[in-house]
Amino acid sequence: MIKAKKIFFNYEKTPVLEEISLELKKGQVLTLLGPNGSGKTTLLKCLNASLKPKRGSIYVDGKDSLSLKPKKLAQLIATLFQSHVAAFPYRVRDLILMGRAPYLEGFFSTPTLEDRRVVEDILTELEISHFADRPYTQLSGGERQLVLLARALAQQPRVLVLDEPTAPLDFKNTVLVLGKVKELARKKELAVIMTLHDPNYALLFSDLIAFIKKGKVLAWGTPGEVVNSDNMKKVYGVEVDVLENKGVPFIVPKI
Amino acid sequence: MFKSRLGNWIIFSMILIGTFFFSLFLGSYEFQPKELIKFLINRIVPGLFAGSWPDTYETVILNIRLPRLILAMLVGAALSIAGTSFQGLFKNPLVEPYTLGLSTGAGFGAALALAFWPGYLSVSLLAFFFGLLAAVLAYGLAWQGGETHVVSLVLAGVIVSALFSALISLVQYLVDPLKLQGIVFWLMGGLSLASWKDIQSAGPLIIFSILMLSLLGWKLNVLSLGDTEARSLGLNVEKNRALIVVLATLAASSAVAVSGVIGWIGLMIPHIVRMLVGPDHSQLLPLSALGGAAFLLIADDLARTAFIYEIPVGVITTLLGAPFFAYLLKSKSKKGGWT
Repeated sequence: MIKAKKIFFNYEKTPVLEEISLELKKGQVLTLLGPNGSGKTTLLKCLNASLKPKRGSIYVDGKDSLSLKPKKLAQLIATLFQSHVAAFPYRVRDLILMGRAPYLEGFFSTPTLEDRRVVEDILTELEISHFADRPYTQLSGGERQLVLLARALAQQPRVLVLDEPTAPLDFKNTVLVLGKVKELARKKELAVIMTLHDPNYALLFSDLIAFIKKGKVLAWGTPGEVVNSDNMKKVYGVEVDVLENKGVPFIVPKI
Repeated sequence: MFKSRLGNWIIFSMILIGTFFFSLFLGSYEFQPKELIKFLINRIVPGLFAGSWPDTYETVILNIRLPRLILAMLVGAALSIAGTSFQGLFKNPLVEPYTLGLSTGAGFGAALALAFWPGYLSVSLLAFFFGLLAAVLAYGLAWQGGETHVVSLVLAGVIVSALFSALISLVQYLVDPLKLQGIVFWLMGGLSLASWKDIQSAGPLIIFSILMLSLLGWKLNVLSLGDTEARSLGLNVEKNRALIVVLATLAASSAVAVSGVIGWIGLMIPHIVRMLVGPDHSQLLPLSALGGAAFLLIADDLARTAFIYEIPVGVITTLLGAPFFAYLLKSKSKKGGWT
């Protein structure tokens, strides 16, 4: 579904991404793990085309994403941003409707009944209809993240990009939001790429994990394949024990 | 507050119509409301009512009061919708044509034209050109690494405003003393010289920009999410923002060209209307135009009837607007939010 080849990116003279390649099929969740400053966020920005890589190519659904028009691109890739600052207290329903922007035809056109129907379906699907009429600014952190997820779904994308979607969330909402993301990846056949801080959540909710350090992919594969004490030591410089719970590894730092 | 969109439209239209007729009957020359309405209907459909009316009806109503009310509505609507547009675009509760320095810039353009190339077209053109220049300057000054801070945009507006005030003084100093009087009077901001010619020159431009801005309201919603998000939703941010700035400037500078610098309407009305109907710009923009029209009618009623001598309407709007600004500065910019 998304295929990136030899992505290179630099700010001034410092290379941030050095020839990163990755491929993801539909329905799969890929989590990028790595310390701050490793280039994870830059990679996400290249993948959703908000940054243009200096070299390399990215294909989404067989189309060269770097030469697509912004509207077409927004129909293929949706992004959930790390920190969302709401300037106006838009109603939840209106905010989600903005996800239909890539489908507007003319310069002055506004959403159609069909667009509104798409929004209603998503509200039901994510079970957030009960606060659809409330101002977005009055919601809790978890509810907000679900609304932004709903807006991303309204774009009816093939690829979903999430930059630390759980950063502002408490334990319960972290589990809730990541659970929804994984469920949606399966149901809507989305290719999901996200960054997370906590390797254990990555283990629980992803099909693939890529360890990124200094702009390079250090290891890449299924959680069972790549998450081991060696790699954790290499990437984070932290000694860990790898335990197992119901067939899924989980890691505990040695203290 | 109000639930349905249609309901909002009805309420705002009723308020405007009510204010219009109230203002029409108000003035130093008193008319019988019934006779006045008969007179007006007779003008539109001649011969519907038998009777004749004294010449005072013709002079006072048709040549003085009616053009003044229509101009007040146009100017109020233009300044208010420009304020709403800028607040949405810059996500900034404190901006409006006056605080951005746009009004002073347009004022300079108009003063320049009045001094050296008098004429409706040159006044409108130069007002638009320097209004746009002022807005772009203020925005450019406040722009830092992809965003503009709430207060720095206002400070930039103060600087730009000071610059154009100085240039206005220069024009006044250089101009022929006979023209000076006209410029000074016009700069005070008022509607007392309103004429049908003013309406003919500013009206089409103002109505055009109100319609266009209202049509772009939904896109302004998306733009108000911030550049990064709007872009990720497939919007051409630069093109849409430029278009909205140009249209809002066209509305505000056309208003300045015919009425001088009347401040603060674009600050107060958008906030009040947003509190009543919510932040959706596809609805907020046209309704704030209606609200601004009604508000300037009332402010102008006060200006022309509250005291023995008529005072410039800009004095009234500033007396109301300055405390409102202080309130917003204290409450909104601290929280960084909108209620």
